[in-house]
Amino acid sequence: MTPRKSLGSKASDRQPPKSADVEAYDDEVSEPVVQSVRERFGERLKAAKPKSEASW
Amino acid sequence: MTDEAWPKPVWPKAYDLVWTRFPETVSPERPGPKPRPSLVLGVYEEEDGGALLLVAPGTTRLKQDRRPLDFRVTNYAEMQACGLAYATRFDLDALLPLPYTREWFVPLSATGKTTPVIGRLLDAMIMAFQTHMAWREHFLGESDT
Repeated sequence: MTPRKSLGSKASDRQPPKSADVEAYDDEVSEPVVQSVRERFGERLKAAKPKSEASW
Repeated sequence: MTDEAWPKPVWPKAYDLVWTRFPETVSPERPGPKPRPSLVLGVYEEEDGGALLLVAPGTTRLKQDRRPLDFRVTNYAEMQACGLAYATRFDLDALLPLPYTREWFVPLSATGKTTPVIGRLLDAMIMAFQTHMAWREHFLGESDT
């Protein structure tokens, strides 16, 4: 017999493990920087061999 | 600062998250002072034996309404798996190739980890990412016509 689910423990009061204490990273990479980095490393990327790629 | 490459045994894989010093300036593009997470979408081996990563930069500016085509990790359990301290948006318009060296990628010292990898998308998140990317490409394709 499956144990009955608890009806609202005080789970919301408990603190889950905290992730690493880091500052918020609210900056964004600007478009000129994106273009500049792609120009700098783009050719190297084309010449390199794929070892692991996300698929979609 | 050193440009020493991270050795092959500790290279990340696609869907890992890595702690990255994104550049903030143009010419020269130097690593920025404040590292932050990025999502690895490709790992490529160069002739000299080093690696280049293709990464999507993460930011805590979620912009839920203004950037619907980006990928977000906002669920607490998913954030834990990814090693993220904050809900994070990954900018899919700003994919960047960067050399996998100690100059650009650093361990997150607060975790005691010895490599820049801080976590990984769960299998279900990878499926969600793939669904998101398929929808994104469909949307962008329709926008072009």
